[in-house]
Amino acid sequence: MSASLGAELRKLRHTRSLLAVPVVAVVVTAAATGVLMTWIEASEISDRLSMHGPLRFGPTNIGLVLLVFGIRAFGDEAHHGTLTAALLATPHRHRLLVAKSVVSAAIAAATCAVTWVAVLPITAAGVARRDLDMTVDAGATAALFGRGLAAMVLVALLGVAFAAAVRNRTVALVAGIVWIALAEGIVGGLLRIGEYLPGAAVSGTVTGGGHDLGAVASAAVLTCWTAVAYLAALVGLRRDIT
Amino acid sequence: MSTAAVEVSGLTKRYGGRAAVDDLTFTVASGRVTGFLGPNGAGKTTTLRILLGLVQPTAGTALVFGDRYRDLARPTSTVGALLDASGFHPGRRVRDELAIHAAATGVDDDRIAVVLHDVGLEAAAAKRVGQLSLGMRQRLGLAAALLGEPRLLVLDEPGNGLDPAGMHWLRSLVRRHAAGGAAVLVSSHVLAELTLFADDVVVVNHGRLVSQSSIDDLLAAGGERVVLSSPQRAALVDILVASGAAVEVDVGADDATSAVVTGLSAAAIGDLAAAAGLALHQLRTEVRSLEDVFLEMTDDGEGIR
Repeated sequence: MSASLGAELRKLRHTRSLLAVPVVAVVVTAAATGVLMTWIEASEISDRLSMHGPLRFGPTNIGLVLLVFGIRAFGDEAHHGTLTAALLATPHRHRLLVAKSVVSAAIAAATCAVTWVAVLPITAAGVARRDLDMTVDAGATAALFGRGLAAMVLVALLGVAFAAAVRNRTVALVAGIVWIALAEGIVGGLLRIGEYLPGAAVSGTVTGGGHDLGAVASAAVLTCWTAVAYLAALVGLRRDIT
Repeated sequence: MSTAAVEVSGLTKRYGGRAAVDDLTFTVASGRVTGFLGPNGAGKTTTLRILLGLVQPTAGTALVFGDRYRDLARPTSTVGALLDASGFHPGRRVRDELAIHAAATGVDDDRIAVVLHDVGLEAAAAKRVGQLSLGMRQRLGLAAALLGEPRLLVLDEPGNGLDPAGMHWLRSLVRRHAAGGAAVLVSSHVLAELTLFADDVVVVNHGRLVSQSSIDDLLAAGGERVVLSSPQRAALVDILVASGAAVEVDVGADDATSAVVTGLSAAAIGDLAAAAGLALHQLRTEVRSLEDVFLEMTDDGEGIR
């Protein structure tokens, strides 16, 4: 397993386009925070750190990016025909899935942490420069960070498993993005099951109180979707590599 | 008792009603280069992918040193495989791609420089894979296969994209590897190519075994043969067989006079016919190339068994 993990880390290190995905997420979130703290009306900026938009909605937004990262972490192998070499080195296919999952989860957690590290000083600088009043409610903020971290890890894992089940990067990317950005809202609205769908479960896990289910139940829903994706992945990985 | 490097037994793979591999049995010995020969679509690649655990067989077994590939403790240090030269990420550098393979194989990074030297890609180490020609990607695939110093090399059409100098280099590399005691299984659809460096040859067609022999025996099947026509064929055939010739009379459904003879010259056949008072209407010598032998072996319903 250590050889598989080492190989996965090297793949990430030597694949610029894949490494760029979480980097872009951090940069865009940091830039958006700068815009918010510079130009948005003071009344639209929360007076509590745990309700601060970039810390609540930033992770929700980068969730889509991390879904793409997870899909690409496995989908790139199928897309470039490198899955054969990966499975020659790791013939037990579930071990390859585990290795990719571990590395993707670590990247998702790191992305979430780095995003916060980027957002907090920008927020502090904006608060100081505009002489705003923002309470640092440490306990609630730490809980928000924990929920964001859990959601980001789960959504990246969902991407890995979905791509492993589909084994076609383009199909997985289009289906994942279209579902989260468009189809889920329509399906959820029509069937009145919105909060039980994966995209809503991500935001529900991060923001908690804004959804009927609450953070814990949303996290449970997201975990269930991820588990279903892994079951599908284990079935998909049994298919022949031709 | 020594274990064969590769032992394929009763291997079958069906896709729906079509058999891509059909009850295939053969072995590959260590220290020898074994050609795996067959026309396109004969089931060679499917067989190799089953051997390497990438495709699940419908029936039968394909073992590497007595074990299934997936049960090998260090698979890429036991078997080096080149299946598809396009199986590399185009955005990665050659050296980085091999570093990934080295990590996956569990070998030290020092091996990267060694295999780059072995395959002549030192100058291209910093190039991105997308910039390489097909021939250079074949060399990169071989470098990846050699990283773990495997006891078995499995190469699927390794000559694709290689120029004559590249082919010469490939033959030398394969021979060197076998001389060191390793087994090499090389698939190809060109018999002439295999005769230059293979010790043994396994011929398949429609997923079935056509023959397994040494390359020398296969080459002996080439050469001259004599086609004759006689209204007294049966009597002539008896005389020719008694004289040590091999005679094939099943040369045409409505042809009761013709036969194909190997092992006797046209002059000797003519002399035997004259001595026996038998009429000959036709007697001509055909020279068969290796390609003729191969085509004959893989011709539907006419295969040599």
